[in-house]
Amino acid sequence: MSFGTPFFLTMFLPCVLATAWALDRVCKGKTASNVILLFASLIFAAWGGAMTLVCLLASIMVNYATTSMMAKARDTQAKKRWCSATIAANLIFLGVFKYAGMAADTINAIAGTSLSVHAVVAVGISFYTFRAISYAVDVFRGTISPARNPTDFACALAFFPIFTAGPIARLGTTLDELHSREISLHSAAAGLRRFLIGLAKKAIIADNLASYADAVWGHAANGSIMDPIYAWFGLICYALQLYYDFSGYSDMAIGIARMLGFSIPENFDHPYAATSIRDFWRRWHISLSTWFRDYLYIPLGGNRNGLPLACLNSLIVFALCGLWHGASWMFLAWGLWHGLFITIERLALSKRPKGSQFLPSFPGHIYAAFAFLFGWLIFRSANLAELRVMIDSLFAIGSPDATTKMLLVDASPRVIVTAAIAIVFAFPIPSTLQALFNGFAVEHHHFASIAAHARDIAITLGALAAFLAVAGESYHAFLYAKF
Amino acid sequence: MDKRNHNATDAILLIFWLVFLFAFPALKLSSEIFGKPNFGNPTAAENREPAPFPYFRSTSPTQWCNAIENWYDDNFAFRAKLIDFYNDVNLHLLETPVAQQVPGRGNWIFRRALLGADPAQRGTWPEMEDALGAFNVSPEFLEDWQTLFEGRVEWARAHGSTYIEVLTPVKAQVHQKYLPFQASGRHHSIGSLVEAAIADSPVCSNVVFLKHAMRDAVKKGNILFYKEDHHVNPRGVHMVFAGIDAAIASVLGIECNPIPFLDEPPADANDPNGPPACWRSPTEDKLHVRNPSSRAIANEALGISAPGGKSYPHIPVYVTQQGEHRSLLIAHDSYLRYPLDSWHRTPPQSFAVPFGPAFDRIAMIIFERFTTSILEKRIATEIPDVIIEQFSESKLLFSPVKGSLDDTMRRAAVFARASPLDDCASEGAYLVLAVFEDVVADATAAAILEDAKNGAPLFALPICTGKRRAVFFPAVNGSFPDGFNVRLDSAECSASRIEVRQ
Repeated sequence: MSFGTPFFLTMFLPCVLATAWALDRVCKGKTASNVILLFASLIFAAWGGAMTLVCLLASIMVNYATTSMMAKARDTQAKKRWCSATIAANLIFLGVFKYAGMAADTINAIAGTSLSVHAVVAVGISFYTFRAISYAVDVFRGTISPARNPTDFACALAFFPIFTAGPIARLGTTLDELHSREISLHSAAAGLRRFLIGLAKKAIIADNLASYADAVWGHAANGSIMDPIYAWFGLICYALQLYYDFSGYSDMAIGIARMLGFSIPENFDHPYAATSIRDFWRRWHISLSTWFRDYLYIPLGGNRNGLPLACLNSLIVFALCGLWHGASWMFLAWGLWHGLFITIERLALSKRPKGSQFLPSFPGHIYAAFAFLFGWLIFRSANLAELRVMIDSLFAIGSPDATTKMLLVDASPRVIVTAAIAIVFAFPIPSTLQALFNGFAVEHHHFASIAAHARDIAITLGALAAFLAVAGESYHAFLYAKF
Repeated sequence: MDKRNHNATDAILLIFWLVFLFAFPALKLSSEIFGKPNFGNPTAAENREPAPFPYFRSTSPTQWCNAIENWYDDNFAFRAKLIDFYNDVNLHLLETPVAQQVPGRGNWIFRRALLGADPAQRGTWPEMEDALGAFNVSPEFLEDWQTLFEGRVEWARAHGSTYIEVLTPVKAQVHQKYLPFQASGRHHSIGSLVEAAIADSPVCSNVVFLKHAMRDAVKKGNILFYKEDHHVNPRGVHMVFAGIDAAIASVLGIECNPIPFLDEPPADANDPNGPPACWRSPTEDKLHVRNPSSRAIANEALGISAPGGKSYPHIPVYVTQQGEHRSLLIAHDSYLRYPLDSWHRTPPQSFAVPFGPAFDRIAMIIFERFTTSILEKRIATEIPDVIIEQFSESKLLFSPVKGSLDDTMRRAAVFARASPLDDCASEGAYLVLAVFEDVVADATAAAILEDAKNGAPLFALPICTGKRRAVFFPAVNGSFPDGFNVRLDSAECSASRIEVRQ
């Protein structure tokens, strides 16, 4: 079940919200509401297939058991052993369900064997596994208290808004909020607004741009070289699609959680306004980058052991970050591509005063755009042949295939207008305008009231258009759901 | 903004959306239980069946979850109206393709394939792409088409019939000024390439490209296609029938006198026995044909063309009308049927086509491609005077389908290209065509080519029952004129003859 389907929007979500709100009003405490949330989350997981549900239940049981044992252990060594066991169990989970196929293919390619792995789809495994690992480490470090009962733990780990594609909220925070959260009219409305904005981002912007990006990569998959202008527009569309798709999903997840009284961390902060790749990763998929920082980079030694090891640590982190996105060598290459730029920036900044910028603002934007756009080129291409066709197309190497002239039709007015809007809103220009607006509104109270109504009307119209698109378009799965 | 206003705004927003979202399942439930409101059938534009309601007993719980979601997503309240509205907005307001439909200038809509997309979503008829010259083909590809046409014509001649291929243009070829953008002049459609390839072939007059006549008509200001559909309109379909008539007249020298097209319905339009004429139906944008002598009749032999016993619109039609005692067999696609106002009449007694009195029996078989085996079945009991195969030029994109260009047709094409012999005796490699009349054959029957001198069998090819059967043998060494003999094994015939070429 995806957030962008009529079933979720008009059946699952309203029913869960209405039930949770009603129980919140009627029952004392949050236990009943939490049980309903757990039930809803398990149903949501079951929609991903039997194996998704089985994996989730197994993860809940194993992680609850091992972290409980860790919490009960008296000496640090024992705690360490239980923590290691928990991490190992989660990594084995991830390895078996996500990387076994890739490993078999690689062995087959190298050794000429014919190993085959039955593909099993376990939706959301990358996300809840990472949440479980961070929980175990936090319990080990003593920064959070372990879950009081298995229902709470299950409810927090399986929490459906963030189950499929994050954000990777810290489990400890979710556990705390299970009993301390407050559902108010204001938080519900704010959550709804956020959800509707996310829906519009996904259904109106991301899916529109996807049609063109898919057409471009479809030609690349066929080995058809395109006119450079088509290829560049396709690359830009894909970059925008990815951002609006994923940030739209995050907005929806944050919005649903907020409607239920939870606060989920932000995942994006205008990443395409970055002036360096370090800056980019402070803005893109923030919950993942902070996870890698806190639970891999710093434990590896971070930058405490000198520049060469810091660079090596960065490369390791980004290689694993790439692999986290998918069991493919292209994802690994994408991770290393980013790791390479991080290393270059680290080396360049090592000789400058602390707090220096890698490049001044404008060249920095250009440099970062080059780096992340070519990163997306690697990320989107299924194999080296596709990547080669895209590079040839982008740089006019070889003559365009005649069939690709239909890309002019694919670049419809709707796609062009959507891309223009997407570019504008990908940068913090609206935030600047909002700051100006807020200043004006402080001085003119009646204007603030009108503006609030106008904002709600705009959001509602946008969301209605998104709903129309959801109904009218064939369904596009969220890109990050498969990671 | 004060807190009270704030709360009111929040409450309005929440209530609106809760009511809006709950309305869909509530109305669907009401529709299922009480039958009201009636949402009708899902939109026809989808070209697929909506997911059925899954019963829990017949599936596993997790499969049921997905099945219920699929059912709901395909059947929720107002879905068809929302999809239609969305498509209208996209096509006409945003000028953006919806699946295979591409908006052109002046609200015209063209048809394309989605070549760059996931193979599962690709369309099968890349009409717009082909008209814009988006494809390149190999010389072998063109050679295959030429061989097919030559083989067909020769095969039909050997059976005493005449084969004419009628290639109809797609909308993007005829009404190019309404395309959203213009093609560069460098490329050619596959049809143009095939036309050039067969220009020097002796059968080029049997292969008719109607696009030239239609383009000329368009230059004179005529509109020959529907704006929002890929079929020809009433005037266009009349032109196609007239083009077929002209081709028959050109190849056979038969005067066809097609039924005339009137710009306006005649004063006696309601009189079914008025003089033969065609006009645009005033009630629907279809061609109305008045031909008092025309009527559709049942014909068992046509039944083999209705795949899986499907009826509408896969209805073969056999028409009798006043005319010369000749028969015409046409395999065609919706091009020749959809724009007729009688096309969807079931049973099709009122079916009439704008053919003149050159034929008194006309078999119209929709959605059939003539493979060799189909042709053999079609002529088993009656050999039509003319066999016509019509299909859209965009279908030339696909190589001759399996069974259309088989060994029989290849040998027939080779025979067509070979030179007739003069009376001088000589030796060498010969091509032999044997024609048998009134053949009654077993399942294992064969036509055998023998060396006339020693009776040694040279080739044996299968043969089946039929009014007339022509067998094209592969090239064989021998002597002429009396070096070959043919006979039937496990079959009988009333007469036989051979033709030899070198």
